[in-house]
Amino acid sequence: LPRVLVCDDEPVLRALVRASLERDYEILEAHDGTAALRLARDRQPDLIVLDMMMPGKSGLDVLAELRTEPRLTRTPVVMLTARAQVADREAAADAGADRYLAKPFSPAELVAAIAELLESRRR
Amino acid sequence: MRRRSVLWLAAAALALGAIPLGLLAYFSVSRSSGALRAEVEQRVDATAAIGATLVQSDVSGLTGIVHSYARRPYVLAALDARTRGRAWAQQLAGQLRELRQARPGIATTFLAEPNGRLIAIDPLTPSIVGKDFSFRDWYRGVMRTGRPYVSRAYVSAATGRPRVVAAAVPVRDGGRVVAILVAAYRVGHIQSVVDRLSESDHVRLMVTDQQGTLLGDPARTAGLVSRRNDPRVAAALAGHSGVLTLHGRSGTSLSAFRPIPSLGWTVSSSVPTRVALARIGGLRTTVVGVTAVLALLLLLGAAAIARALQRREQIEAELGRQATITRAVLDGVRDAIVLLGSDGEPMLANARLREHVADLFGSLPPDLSRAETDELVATYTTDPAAYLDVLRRERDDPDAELVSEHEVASSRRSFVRSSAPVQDESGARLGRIVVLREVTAERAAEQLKTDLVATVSHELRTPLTGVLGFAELLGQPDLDDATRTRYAETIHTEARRLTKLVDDFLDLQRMEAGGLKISLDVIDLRDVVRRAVDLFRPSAVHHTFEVDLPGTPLEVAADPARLAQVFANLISNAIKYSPAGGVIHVGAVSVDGSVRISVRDPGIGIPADQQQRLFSKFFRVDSSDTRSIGGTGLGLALAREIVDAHGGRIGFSSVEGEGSTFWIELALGETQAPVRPRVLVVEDDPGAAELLVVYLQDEYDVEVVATGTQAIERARKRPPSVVCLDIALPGELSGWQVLARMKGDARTAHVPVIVCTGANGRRRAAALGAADFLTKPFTNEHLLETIARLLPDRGGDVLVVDDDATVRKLVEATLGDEGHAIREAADGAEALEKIAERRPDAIVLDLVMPRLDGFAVLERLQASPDLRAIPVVVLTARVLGAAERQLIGARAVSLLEKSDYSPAELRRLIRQALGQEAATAA
Repeated sequence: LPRVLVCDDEPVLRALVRASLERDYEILEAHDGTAALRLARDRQPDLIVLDMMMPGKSGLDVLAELRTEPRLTRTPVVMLTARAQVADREAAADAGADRYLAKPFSPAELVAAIAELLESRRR
Repeated sequence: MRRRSVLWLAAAALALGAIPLGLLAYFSVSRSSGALRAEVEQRVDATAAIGATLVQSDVSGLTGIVHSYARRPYVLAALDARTRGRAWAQQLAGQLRELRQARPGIATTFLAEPNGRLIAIDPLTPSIVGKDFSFRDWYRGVMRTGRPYVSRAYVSAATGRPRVVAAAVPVRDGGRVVAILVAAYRVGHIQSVVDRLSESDHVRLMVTDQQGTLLGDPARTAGLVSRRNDPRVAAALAGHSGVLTLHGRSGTSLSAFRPIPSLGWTVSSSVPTRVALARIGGLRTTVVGVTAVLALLLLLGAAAIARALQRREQIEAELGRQATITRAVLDGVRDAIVLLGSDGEPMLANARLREHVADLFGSLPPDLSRAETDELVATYTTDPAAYLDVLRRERDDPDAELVSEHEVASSRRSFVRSSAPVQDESGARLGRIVVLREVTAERAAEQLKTDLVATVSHELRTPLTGVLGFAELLGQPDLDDATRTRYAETIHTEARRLTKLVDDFLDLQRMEAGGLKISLDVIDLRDVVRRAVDLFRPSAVHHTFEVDLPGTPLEVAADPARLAQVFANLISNAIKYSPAGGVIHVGAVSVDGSVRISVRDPGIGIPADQQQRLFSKFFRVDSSDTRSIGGTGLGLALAREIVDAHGGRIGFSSVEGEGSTFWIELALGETQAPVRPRVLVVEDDPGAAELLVVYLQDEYDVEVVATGTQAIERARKRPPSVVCLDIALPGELSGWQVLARMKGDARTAHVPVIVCTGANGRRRAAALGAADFLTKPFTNEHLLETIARLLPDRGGDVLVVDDDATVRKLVEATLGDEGHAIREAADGAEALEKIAERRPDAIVLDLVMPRLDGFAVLERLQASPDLRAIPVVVLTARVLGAAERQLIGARAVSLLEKSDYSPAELRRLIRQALGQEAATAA
């Protein structure tokens, strides 16, 4: 199964992502940025779902570090954020996010986005 | 003083103009009068000379005639006939008559014997014929000289007794004197001879004989008048001639005198100076007139100059006053203002600008060019290019009105810079006015708002995402029941979380806006604590509670529901942040009139670097997986607001990894000692702060903070009685800024601030609203005295009128702390009795009461001139209509509805009421 890493400080959101994806993917969970980076390095996920606004390292910080790791540079990243402003979307895109989902998001939307990203990556 | 100097100046100008004018007039009169005088002198002298000649020739003419008669044969013949005894008288009489008529002026003619006996006389005077006249001067003169002789004046013995001189000639017969022929010449005639000369020119001539006797007919006397003492006569008799000025009763006259040597007589001529120098008078009149006109013009000129000078001084004084006003207005503005000339150099700057420059740059090097200064200032901003661009645009387009914002890199202070051209009345460009408005606080507030919105958005969206997401997943067809249940539970949990979040947030907003409603009751705190613990026991199956409360009631005036909220929060945190199996200790101890309730947990503790932010909104301890604990992040912020509203304190101590103890302190309602005034000391130097604490702690509760930010925060949360403020503070805010912000904030503006500093700035302190200024080092006594003076008088006499004993007790407990003497009345009638007994300083009045209600009491108070001024705080549970509010508003100082009641508010109102009365009385 493709492996998806979910990083969010809110347990309920990790639970929601897991519930949405667990049938088709292997799910890894990280509760903060540091844990996410460690897991990403160790487990080489196929895709990362990353919350933008977290205490400590923010989603953007994590993304920036990911993009410096040779093996993780091309790993697709879906950003989740409560912020719904264009500036945030741009910041996410600039940092190298592949998709941007504003909270509250629909699980179906997330599933579709992930499937699409993995599909295009496979090709 | 200035006016006097103007007058001096005018007087000097007048003198400078008047002196040459006067000299000119004087010399012109003097020179011409000198010339005229010489001329007059000459004329007078000439007149005297002519007079002398005239008299001499007249007299010598007379003598000649007498002499010719003396040689006539008729005279000798008559004498001879007389000798021979023949008739002679007829013949002689004829001769004498002829001689007498030969010239006008001859009074008598007569012939005398050589021994002086009178022979005959014409006109005939028989009484004197034959008498001896040898004593007469004429006789002695002729006999002495043997020649014709003109005598001195005498009064004739002949008919009419004329005043005469005698021209006597010896009559000789062959060399022997046989008789003397005399013609007595009227002196008046001599006078008339010279008078002809004096007819013109007002010159008067006076002739005297050899004895100085006047040869003239003075009207006053029939006798002779001597002029011997006349200086002219005396000089002329001595043979001198000359000119002199005489000062007589009729004025000054110019006079000439000279002798008539052949007669031994004198002639004097004189002319009154007034007449002689009449032309000078005319000249003088003209000169004086012209001079006067010139002097008048000069005077008018001087007056005009003086007036102009004075006007100018007035204008200058007015300008000075205007400048002072302008300066005061400029310096009173919070914005920094500078007027730049066309060359870009500052022409005028207000105090705030100089302050900013000093604060931001210290002192700018003085010898910088304009461009260099601009460059230097630009380097202090976070975007030098933008700053320089604004300046460039101003230079390129002098008419441009520009608004830009700049941030100072070092201090992060933001300024909005507005600049606009300035023109004078004629439209000519004077330069440019630049206004700098500090917007640091606004920007910080905006940032805070943005952050808050982002946080709130995030906090709200998280549970919302859970609700919506799981709801969507619930719709999946192939879910098993267990999963379905789990999803539904999650939805429920998240929805509750969302609800609580909204509630807490709105509560907090309301509290911060000052709208927190707490209704105080006297309660036993133990009950509230027990109930809160009991509430958690069923759910907290993994934790043990240890409750340690005293055996006696802990009575406080508090809102039990709100306090329960606080305890619930602390207990819930203790459960959330401590591992399963931990013991949570809840205890209460009363110390010094206050009670401290603490909640201790053996949990993860709070990292030291995060402790400061613990009470901030949405703050959650950032540690591994704390998010799984849940919570809104608003609980502690709310708890703090609630405790503050009760006039209490909240705090904690914590060691990371070992646990935390949270506590709140509340004043005990009944047994507590009067609350002491609180002094907030703002001092960064620990030694100085410690010293102040030592000075103050005997009389005051002292709280010390080290930075301006903390000072403002503390003062806003719980306004102290007095603030002792150091000026040199570390961090963003200087003491001046703290002072300005405190005075600018309605919550703290009333708190007296004493500036305690080693530096200068008394005037600035006063300008910013400081109550006093102490220069370090100061003595203990000085400090205590200053504080005591600033604190409001304590101990007002307050009458509490309410039919509810609980309310009275509550109010008494609240106000007793303040040192007021409290009296109680259960209704309006009793209140009026108590008021009559002793006039209270303030009244706390309920409206709805039996017997006589509050409205009636207000009416009675209003009706009495003596009682009208008593401030009344209406405390009512009744919801008032607009009309009632108006009615009360007109009579009561303030209105406090019981639903809005808080002890702090009541204390504030009473303090205000007492202060207000003092102000009215003064």
